[in-house]
Amino acid sequence: MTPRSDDACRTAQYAGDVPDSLVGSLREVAATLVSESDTSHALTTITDACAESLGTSATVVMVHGALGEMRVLTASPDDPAIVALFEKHADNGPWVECQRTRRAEGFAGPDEAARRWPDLAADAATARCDAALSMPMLLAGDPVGAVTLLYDTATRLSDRELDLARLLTDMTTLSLCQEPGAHRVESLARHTVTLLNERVQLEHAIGMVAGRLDISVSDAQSALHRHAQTHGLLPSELARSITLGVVDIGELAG
Amino acid sequence: MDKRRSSRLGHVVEIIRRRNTDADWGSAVCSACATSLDSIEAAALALRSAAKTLDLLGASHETAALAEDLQFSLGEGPCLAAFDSGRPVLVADIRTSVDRWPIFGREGHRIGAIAIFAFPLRVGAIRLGTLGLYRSSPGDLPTRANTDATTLAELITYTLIGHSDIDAVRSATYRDVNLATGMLAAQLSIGLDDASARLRAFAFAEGRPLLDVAKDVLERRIRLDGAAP
Repeated sequence: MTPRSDDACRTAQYAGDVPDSLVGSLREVAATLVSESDTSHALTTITDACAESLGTSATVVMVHGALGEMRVLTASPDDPAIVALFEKHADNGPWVECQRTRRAEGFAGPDEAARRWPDLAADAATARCDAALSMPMLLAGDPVGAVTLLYDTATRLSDRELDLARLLTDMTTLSLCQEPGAHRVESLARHTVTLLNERVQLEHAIGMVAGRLDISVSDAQSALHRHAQTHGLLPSELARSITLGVVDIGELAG
Repeated sequence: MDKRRSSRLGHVVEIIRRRNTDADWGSAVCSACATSLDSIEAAALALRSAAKTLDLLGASHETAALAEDLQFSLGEGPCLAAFDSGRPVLVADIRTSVDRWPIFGREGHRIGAIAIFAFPLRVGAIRLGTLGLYRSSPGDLPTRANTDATTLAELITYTLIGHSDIDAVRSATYRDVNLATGMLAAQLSIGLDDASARLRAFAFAEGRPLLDVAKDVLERRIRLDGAAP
């Protein structure tokens, strides 16, 4: 990507070919999709690809809950301020609008945010989201969620970047319904519930670590991820063990 | 989702939402599940605990009630396994599961429970119980019924923990609320279910939003055990 221009709004163009790093990311995502299903790994790979090839400061995936409400499935990086922003404005924002229009919706800068989503604008600025673009996740024509690209500086995506964003969004949708044919819609619901529960369970575990070791939530989150990595566990696996009481939380200290 | 199926599911959802007004809510939900879910003949709704207690909230048919009772008496079965693991346990033919459940595998089919599909009622690591689905003939659970049951189990769970409107459900699953629940559980050496109940009870008694109370817990302004922080 070219460096920021002097204009108030950053634009970027590809020199020509697709970057090697992007090809690598796409290959990794595709491999995960066709192999033994590990949905959360596929999602992580996709959000990493968004950061690397689209220059996002954060990427948030939202899906519909049991009552039709939009819920955060993943946020990468898992920034509490960003998660709180989306939880508070779950029914008002480009992520909701794109479900209605079935097109990309968003704001390229704080002025546009203030004009189109006045209730959201102030909180977005506080969370350092100067620009946001929500891509609808469509399955069999119906909106099942949204992938939102966030930027900490005013940004407008090029046509090429929009195409890429659409591709990555479609892969996100696919990663949530890994059974072929007519079963995909059904599979999405099951995977979604599982992942939402895993997210809640992870948050329970982080809280337990913070409470038991008398440390901050962010220190507890770091400790949990560090311990998981050291022991070759997925964070969700470690979280499950912690909440079941089979791991001595004291082991995570230091 | 085709119109017929969405209206069948819509029927069950309506009944689930009538928690406060329906005296026989549990059985009504089970009957609706049995009628609406593809290839299912009977359903039972049970509250369980880590201490192996059973509180049968309702059953659509005698078979389902007997099957739940039997699993409870024997201390083994698909519903207990689903509760313990937090994952659905789908058994197409209980007679072929004798190595997993030696006694229930032999006895279960005598009461007409051949195919058993148990769905846990859980929010994160908080486990409430199970939704047990039964059929008197062997065979897998069709994918659509699997998905529908998953969705219904989630709805039932939220309704049971007292959150049946969208705002309440949303705020109940906020990150800060989940973190505070874990912190409380560790600080007071109680289970997550108890911590969650305590948090909600405190918020209700104080007339404050759950999210606000959760933030106070996280910032260590309150401990909810009566002691000063």
